[in-house]
Amino acid sequence: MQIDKDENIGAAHFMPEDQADVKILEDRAKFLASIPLQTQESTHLIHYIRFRLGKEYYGITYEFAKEVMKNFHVTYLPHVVDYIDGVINRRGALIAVIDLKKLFHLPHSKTDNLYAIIITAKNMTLALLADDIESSNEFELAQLSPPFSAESSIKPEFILGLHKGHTAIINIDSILKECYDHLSA
Amino acid sequence: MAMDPKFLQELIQTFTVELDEQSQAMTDALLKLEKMDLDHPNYNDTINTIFRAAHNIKGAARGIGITTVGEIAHQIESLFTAVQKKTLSLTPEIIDISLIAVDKMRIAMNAYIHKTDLPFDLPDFVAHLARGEKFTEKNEKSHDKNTQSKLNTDNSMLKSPKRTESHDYKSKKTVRVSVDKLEHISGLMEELQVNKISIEEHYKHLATLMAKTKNLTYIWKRTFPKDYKYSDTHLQKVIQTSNDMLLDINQSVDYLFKKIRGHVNELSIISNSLQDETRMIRLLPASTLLRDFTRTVRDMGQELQKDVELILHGDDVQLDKMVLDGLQAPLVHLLRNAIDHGIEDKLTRLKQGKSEKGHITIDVIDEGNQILIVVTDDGSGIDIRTIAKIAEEKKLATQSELETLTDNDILEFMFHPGFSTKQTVTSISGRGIGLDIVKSGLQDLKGNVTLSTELGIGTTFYLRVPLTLSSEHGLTLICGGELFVIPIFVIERVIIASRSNIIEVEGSEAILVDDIAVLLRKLSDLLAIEEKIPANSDNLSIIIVKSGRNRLGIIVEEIVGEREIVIKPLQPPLAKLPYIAGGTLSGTGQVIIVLNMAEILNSTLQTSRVTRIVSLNNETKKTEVPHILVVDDSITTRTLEQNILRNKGYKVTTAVNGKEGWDILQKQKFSLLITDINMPIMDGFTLTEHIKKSETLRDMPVIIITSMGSEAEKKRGLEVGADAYIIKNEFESGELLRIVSQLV
Repeated sequence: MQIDKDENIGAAHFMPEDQADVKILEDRAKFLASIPLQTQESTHLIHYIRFRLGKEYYGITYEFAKEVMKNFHVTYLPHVVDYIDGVINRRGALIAVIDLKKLFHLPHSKTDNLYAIIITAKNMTLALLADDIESSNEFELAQLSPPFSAESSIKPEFILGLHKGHTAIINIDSILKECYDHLSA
Repeated sequence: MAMDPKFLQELIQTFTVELDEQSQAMTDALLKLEKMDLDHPNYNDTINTIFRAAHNIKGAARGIGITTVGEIAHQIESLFTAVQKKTLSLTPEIIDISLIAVDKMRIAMNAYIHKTDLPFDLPDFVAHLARGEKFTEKNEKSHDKNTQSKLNTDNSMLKSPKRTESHDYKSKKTVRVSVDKLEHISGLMEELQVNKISIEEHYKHLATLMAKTKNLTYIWKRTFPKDYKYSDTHLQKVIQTSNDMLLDINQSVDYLFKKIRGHVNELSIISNSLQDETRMIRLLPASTLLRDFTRTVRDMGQELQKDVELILHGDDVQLDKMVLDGLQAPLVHLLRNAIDHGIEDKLTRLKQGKSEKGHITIDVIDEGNQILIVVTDDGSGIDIRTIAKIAEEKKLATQSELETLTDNDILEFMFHPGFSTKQTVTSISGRGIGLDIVKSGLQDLKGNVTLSTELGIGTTFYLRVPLTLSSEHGLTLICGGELFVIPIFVIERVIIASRSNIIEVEGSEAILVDDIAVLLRKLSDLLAIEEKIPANSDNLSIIIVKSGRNRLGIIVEEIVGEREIVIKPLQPPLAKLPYIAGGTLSGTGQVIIVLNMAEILNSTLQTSRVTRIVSLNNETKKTEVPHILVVDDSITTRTLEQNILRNKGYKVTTAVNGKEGWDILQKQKFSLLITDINMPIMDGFTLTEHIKKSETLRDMPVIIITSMGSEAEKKRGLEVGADAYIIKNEFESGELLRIVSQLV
């Protein structure tokens, strides 16, 4: 409990004591308060991390993506579904590694899977393998176009929609559900 | 006789925590009991929980002389003894007053600490409690001197000098930290170690780079001497500049290397000692537990009018706090038993030529990864014939059974619940609980307890516990190029055998261990990993594992060695995986899977009968094994079908959708195809249609298995040319196998 106390040093602790400095801060606060809030209402931007799987691009929103790992060793797990590549050690926690290419039925090559994107939701943590991390980007829900379902081999529920027609935003909930259903069966 | 006041403060502090924990356990159990029927399966356990908690509080409270708390606990214990023996039926009033009693114990404890008077009438309350009656609080103001005078039992304590320092107990500088936080620190620590190892690797590369630069400089200097005058001025200039640059690089690398060397060494030392310290955080010297007992033993001795001395050896040995806590109750019980049952009264002792004073010795011995605690008394010992007689009376064994048992086996009966050799009940022990507590307590700690005794000489108990609950030992091995760990405690032995030692029993491979045939399995088969044991190698590494009475020989590729392991759970959604107990981290931070051998053993021994039948069939028919292709996008269905068919001796290949199935069919010949309908890329209908249109594949039978049960679907299935159509919800292995054998 004593430890917690240290973390709880309030913001007041960092307030300047000099009168002039205080004045600057107050003015700034007033200015910021006067900016209308409408920007937030009209465009609800969702940020996501964009990455590559083979020749295709995918996105995961930052709500779920916690960390990107490189240089990791995946340990093989016997008797699991093929898209679970194994387990990795993330600061002492052993988490499942998902090979999205297998889950999405995409072609494989040997030099793949350099990165792992750690995602968490609903008390579950997974590492998703990626060939390359491209950039951060943002979308509006209304901007997303429906995923192609007809000829694509990927289950439609795995994709929320396409951003600008080239980046498929992944539906993390349905991925987690898929893994959970398989593993608890 | 007065006790060291500082020491007493520590005891009181320990007891306060214990009282809190036990009170909580008791309250939980009482509340549970309130909602429980008499025939509820947990009814007796719950009564037992209350009883044991009260029993423990009583013992500890008396041990340090807080008689008020001890008295209340004693009454709760008596009350629930009666309930347990069904001489008293449990009423809501009993639960009510017991809950009040729990509060009263806390109040009494507070009063003791703050040296204030009891804010309630103890004898009155205890009288109510003893009868299990409803208790209503009297007017609080009425108790003053009146109540005080009734508390004559406690008066001696009030005058005692040790009470004056009771405020000290608050000032002790300790912080209770949850184990989760410690685990988190250990996790970060391991991460740090991994990075340290990487940095050391980079440092080695730097050293190589430095050697190379030095070498180059040397060669350069010899080839182009400094004072040599070249005729070509341009060349002269280039060589001069390069020379300077090279020297500069050389110096820089040298500087960098020396600087980094210091830091790498320092990092290594700090990181290593930090890791040691992190491990040590959880360890405490045994004395933190044992020195409490000196007082306990003295007081119990006084109550029973026996002069007993406790001698401690090796109490500086360090153990995990959780292990120490778990040892508390078992050790108290052993000490009570020793004083009450073991040590004779003074007269008897003198007659037998023993010293007047009885002795109990506790030795703590560090055995490496285990700690051995030996509790010895020089009392009367245990008469094995008496034990045998009681075992017979209590119907734990029959006369004829007893005759075949060894002395040690008979002594084992003492650990049976409800076994007590003492005829009369004293307030200290002899209520028929004790050694079973000791045994279950030790089992919770992954330890065990044994005893030896000599009539007239004394009794010795041997308690073995692991150094820490957070780690154990495991055997690292290689299977299919991957590392796996098997916990040491399931391993009976490791055998290096030649192939000629392997015998065949009922169609299965087995090996003789002490003249008993033990079934053999390859780990690679059990884990469905591609085998890498060279077929011609004659030496096989076999690990004999045991679980209860079952034994199994596991053939592995290579045994790497033994190491300490900390088993970590796999994070959700990976929670329960077949055959896997968890993972452990290697020195470089890689995950190594720890196998759940008990599960492997049980499921192997269950299926081994099926396998035997198959292997016999194979021999009689001597035909080519039918090869079946299973196409299904669900791993569960795929695995299920694959297992059913493999167990029957068929060769099975799988594909995840129609397209993959079709591709496989182009390369290989199959006797039969089993397919699902709904699949990505290419569905089962299309696949069947393709097959039935193909010249080469047309004759191969096709079974469609699906959850779609409509007549139209079934019709379509047969239209496209399927030979059989099985609906999943009527799908049984027998049905599948029947159709398969018809078609193949």
